[in-house]
Amino acid sequence: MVEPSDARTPRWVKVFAIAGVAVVVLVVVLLLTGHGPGRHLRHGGSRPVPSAPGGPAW
Amino acid sequence: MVMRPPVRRLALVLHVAASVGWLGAVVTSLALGVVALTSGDAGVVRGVYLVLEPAGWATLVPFSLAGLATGLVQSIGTGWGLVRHYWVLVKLLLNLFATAVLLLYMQTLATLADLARDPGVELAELRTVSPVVHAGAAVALLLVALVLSVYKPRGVTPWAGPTAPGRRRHTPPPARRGPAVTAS
Repeated sequence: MVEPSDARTPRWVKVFAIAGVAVVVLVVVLLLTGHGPGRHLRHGGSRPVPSAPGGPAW
Repeated sequence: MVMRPPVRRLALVLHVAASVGWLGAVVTSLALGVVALTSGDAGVVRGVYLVLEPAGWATLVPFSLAGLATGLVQSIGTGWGLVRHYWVLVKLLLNLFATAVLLLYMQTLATLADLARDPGVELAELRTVSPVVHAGAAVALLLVALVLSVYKPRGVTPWAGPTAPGRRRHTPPPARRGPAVTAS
């Protein structure tokens, strides 16, 4: 028989779960408000085209 | 399937190596981001933003995927299991989250590299705190995962099963003489 204390969710797991949900909500809000990949730079919008062609190729 | 001890040790070495490599790569990216924010040399600032993307593809992404893969092998190939213990499950979720954010953030690093390549973009426009924020958060996340790996805090999930290591069990009381009493 499993002890009742083992059946309960440990406190540290609850703390992690709350923090995790908060971070996920924050990320979703940032994505919805236009702070997604490549958009949180001051220039905004999607990947810009360099004005001077012929830069170093990677 | 539980791995034999020599294989288990090799898998552990690979997992530690991948994780240490990932942490080191993230700390390097953090340092480069700080250099780009604080340096007064335009060449250095542009150089940092140019190198962050290829460095990310060469180190951050491979180490993150290797850490995830070796971690899966470690958990499945040992008695710990993938979802039996909370600390293993939390580490898995942290790793998946960090890898997903990293893969998305590679687009931002590509944009930064394009801007750094463009001589028409002023230095003040180019500087951004974004790489420092993301790398700093990644360092914090990886340190949490490291602490979980070392301390292995107690707690088994509802999916652990009755024979999971670390699950305490009551020793059944000695049988009494006389008629058995059944609970109904």
